[in-house]
Amino acid sequence: MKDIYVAAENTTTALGFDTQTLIENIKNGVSGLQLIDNISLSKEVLPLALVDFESLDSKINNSYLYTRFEKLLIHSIAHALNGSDIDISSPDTLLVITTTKGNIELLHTPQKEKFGNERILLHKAAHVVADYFHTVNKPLVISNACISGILGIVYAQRLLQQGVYKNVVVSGADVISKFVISGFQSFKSLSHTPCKPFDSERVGLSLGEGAGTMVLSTNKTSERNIRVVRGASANDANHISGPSRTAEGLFLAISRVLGNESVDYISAHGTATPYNDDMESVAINRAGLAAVPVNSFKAYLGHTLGAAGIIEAIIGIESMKRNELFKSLGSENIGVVEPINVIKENKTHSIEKFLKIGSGFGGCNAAVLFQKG
Amino acid sequence: METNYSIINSISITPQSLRCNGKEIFANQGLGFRDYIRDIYKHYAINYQKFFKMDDLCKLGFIAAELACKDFEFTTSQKENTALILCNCNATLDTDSKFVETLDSLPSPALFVYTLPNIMMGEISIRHGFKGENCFFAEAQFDTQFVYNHAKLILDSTATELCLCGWVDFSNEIEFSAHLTLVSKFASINNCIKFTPNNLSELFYK
Repeated sequence: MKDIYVAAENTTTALGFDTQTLIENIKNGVSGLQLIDNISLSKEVLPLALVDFESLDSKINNSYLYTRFEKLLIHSIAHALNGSDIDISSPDTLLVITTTKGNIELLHTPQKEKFGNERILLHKAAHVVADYFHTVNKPLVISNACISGILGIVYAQRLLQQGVYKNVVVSGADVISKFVISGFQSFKSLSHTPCKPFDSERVGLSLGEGAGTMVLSTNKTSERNIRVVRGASANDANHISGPSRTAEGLFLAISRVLGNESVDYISAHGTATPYNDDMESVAINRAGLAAVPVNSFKAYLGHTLGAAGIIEAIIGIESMKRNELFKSLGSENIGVVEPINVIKENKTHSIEKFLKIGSGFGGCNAAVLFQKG
Repeated sequence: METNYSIINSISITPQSLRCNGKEIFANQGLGFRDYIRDIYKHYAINYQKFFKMDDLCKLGFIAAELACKDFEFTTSQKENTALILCNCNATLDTDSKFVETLDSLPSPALFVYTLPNIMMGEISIRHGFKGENCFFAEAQFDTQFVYNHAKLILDSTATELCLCGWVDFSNEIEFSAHLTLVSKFASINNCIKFTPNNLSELFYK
């Protein structure tokens, strides 16, 4: 078995355009969620974690050629690669793009005239981004609801194991649009105040936008000491829009990754919908992990859909590097059906193994394990 | 590298015909998608009320999966370890467009849920009790090599015993296609065709 190392990363979010800035904000308890009153997005005032695209534009060459979704990917990939020895245009490197809705806003905004309908097709948008970086290999595009980002990491690990590539750049992004907001509103799953993961008074989720990029490599260097060990996915086979009460799929995904192993820290999906957080507490208990510290980053960055798994895995890796656990913002009075050990304050904690989990519509669930050494 | 994996069933549904394992068994007499897919549903006497709630992409994927899994008796362990690997070009664009039309009135959750291409895998999983690995890829066109590579990757690298994999794409009433195959990790099944990119192309394009 080859070892697969995390070689570089970037997060481009409402809390800054690099991970160090994001982590400083998280440590200070700063949330990227702000109440937004914008009729082109929603009739209701909603907490949203929006990216400062004006600032982002100044960091991208010819930014007018790209949609917001493409700009997030381009910035995040370029920033992750900057200073690393990974050549994205090499035949040994694959680009994996993950997203839930990609350029969907082109369907209903004035941007449609500028970019045309074709860019809504995910492979077209991916091609535009790949061309920016002159990749030789055709990018692999994953669109699997809210586990897209985790699946991107899982597939990168498997492809590297197989030996076809030496490096995989996994980049996930999603932007906030009226389309996405209306959809979650139709499900009555949005909170009118910043979301409160695992809290007894949680009423729904908050949306965010952003990108995350994780570069994985089979090449070990002295700075690379965190490995992607393995990942898995599983379907609940229960309901297309609601989580399983027995947490079947998430439990299976965790079991496939961990077997009987334990971990030092879990980064949960923690969307702050009543059902999701209960379901996660059931899965964590069924897997015998009730005592393991767990948090959600949704109250810092909102739910960034197809980017969430990558952004949150990167934050977890920072926790490993620093041996620090970050407070699960918004989780005040824990109220989930099974007891879990939600992180209430920032604290030092030795982390050798870290598990990222996620779930989404369509009954999909995924988990991926990172380890030091 | 060669594998010992075998093709149990392969199904193609195109506007022209329905083919099972390379043989045409149902020619479309010029019907649009909705009448055509309903005819196939009736022809096989499928009885599944949830079918009528699905969007057209899911109906297409559901019927293709139904026929690809027909007559194969899954054990409980096999169901738990059956993976779904699907891809297409248009994701859920047809339903996305319908959803956009409702943005200024009352968007419906029953429509929004079908704006995710992996919902099709959720529907198939519920029907058959599949709890294995899931992944949906966006691709420009149906490519048997791509399907082969990703089915092989998941059969090689996980506990997956069976993999239902392929292409399901829906544009409109007259442009759609499904090419699905059920692949087993084991070669011990009688009269099965070996799982290779060439054999897939033979079955799907013949």
